[in-house]
Amino acid sequence: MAFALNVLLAGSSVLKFSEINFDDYIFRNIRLSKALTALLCGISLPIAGQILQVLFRNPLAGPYVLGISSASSLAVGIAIMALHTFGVMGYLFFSKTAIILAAFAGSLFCTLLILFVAKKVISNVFLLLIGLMLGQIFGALQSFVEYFSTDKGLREFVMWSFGSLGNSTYTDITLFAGIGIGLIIILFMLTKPFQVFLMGQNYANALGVDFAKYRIYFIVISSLLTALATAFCGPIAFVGLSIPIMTRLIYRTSDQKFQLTACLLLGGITMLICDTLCYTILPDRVIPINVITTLFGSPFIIYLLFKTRNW
Amino acid sequence: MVVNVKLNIIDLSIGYASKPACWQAGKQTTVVYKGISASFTSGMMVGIIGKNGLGKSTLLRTIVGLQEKLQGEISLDNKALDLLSKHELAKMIAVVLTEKVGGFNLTVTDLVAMGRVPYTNAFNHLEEADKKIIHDCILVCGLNEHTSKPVNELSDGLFQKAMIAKGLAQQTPILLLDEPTAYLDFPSKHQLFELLKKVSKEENKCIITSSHDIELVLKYASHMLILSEENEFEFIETSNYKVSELFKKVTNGYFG
Repeated sequence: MAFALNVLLAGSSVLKFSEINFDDYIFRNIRLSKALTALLCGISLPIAGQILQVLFRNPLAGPYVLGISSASSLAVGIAIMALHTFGVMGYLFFSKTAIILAAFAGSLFCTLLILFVAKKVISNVFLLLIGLMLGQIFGALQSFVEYFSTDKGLREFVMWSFGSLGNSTYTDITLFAGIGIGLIIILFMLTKPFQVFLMGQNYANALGVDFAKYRIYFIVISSLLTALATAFCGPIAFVGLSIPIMTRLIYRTSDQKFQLTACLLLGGITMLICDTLCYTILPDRVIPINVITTLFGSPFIIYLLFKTRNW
Repeated sequence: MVVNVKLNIIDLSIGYASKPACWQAGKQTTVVYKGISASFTSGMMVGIIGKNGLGKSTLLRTIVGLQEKLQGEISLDNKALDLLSKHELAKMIAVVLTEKVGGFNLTVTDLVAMGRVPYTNAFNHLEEADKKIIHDCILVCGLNEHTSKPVNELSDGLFQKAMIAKGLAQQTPILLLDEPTAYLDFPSKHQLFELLKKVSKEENKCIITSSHDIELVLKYASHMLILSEENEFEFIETSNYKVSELFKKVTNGYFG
């Protein structure tokens, strides 16, 4: 809560708590909406990451491993370049909706592709490799699009790829919160199979848990969470990978109910802190959120790794 | 455990039904072994013996439903295994495979608790009774000093014991093990088979284990399933034969 308040109070001019007025335009439409977006983003990405790390039983997995973020970026890239080419970028509302739709469509396309592959392929390692390769393909196509784009378009795209929490309207937030929290509730109903997934495919099946079926569920949940966050905030790097690692290092339990809850809380708090730092480190300048998350997250993980040697 | 079960295998062919590639139609089958018939009952301790690649693991994986059978029948108390759901099967047959598990802070207790999964509610809540079973299984396998150790820090011997404790916690009438002694030193091997023998007697379990340690199987198993090349297999009761005869049978399987 304290962190939430911090985000609300910090800004180009620091507010005092007593000065908060819920009718204030800046407070309501900029600070509060940004804090809510940060919270949602910090909740959904670590959950998506934790799902994939358990599914592949690999702490290096994150929301990007199945190519979902890359597909989003590519779709947004194409959308921005197209909008610039046709000269309609100026209409703010139109372009913003287009970017959100493109990001979501890109993620969804990649998710469907992965599900199609998952139906054919039994081996998890195979699926992981195919996901990584899809990511590479989308990345290459994105470079291609960037290379042939206009200067303005490129700048716009690079700005998008820094990630931003401040672009959401309340309609966006309602949508994000509705779908995101719904997905997380479904996941919490599935914690039993999720726990058993720690044992891997064969043991899960031998314990009566249909691995192939639940794998599809988990991929869908994780992909949609990633898609939501990417659509509304851009490719927020790192929290999806790092928060699950942190929660495992800090709370040394294998209970997935606990770990998922820890991801939710730690993720939300971390994003709020990072967002506060974006606005407070340099006077009069805003630092991109991705810079902060990575710059502060990575050393912290290295510290934790050294502190708890035998991981 | 007092229930008596009977696992019947009739003219079973095992192997892989592999599609050549996902875009090609049709199925190719690779038969690993065919014509296996045997009948296992509670209290038996069966050792499966055979060269590498003859299908010991495939047989175990087929029985526990991790792999489709190619032909023949497997039935449990005269009911075809295919008719059981995964969940029902998990209450009848437990398995210890060769693959490693661990990481993600999984401790020995957590691992053994996995054995209760077929019985817990939708949120995997462990009742007092479940906790007692987990505790007992840990005691039986001599793991009481290692309960909070992460599974991936255990020695091979302790890891096998932990996996067996998980299998016991599943409280199934049948326990399958795939080469449980593979990486163990000599005393640990004997300890492990001693434990299996004890469990099969005291809890009236049917234990089927594949192994390359012929001397252990000869010493501890009540029955032997010998897979040999040319698809000659034998299912015999060890007490009906002299050790020298058995040894000849077994070594024929290897060198014949």
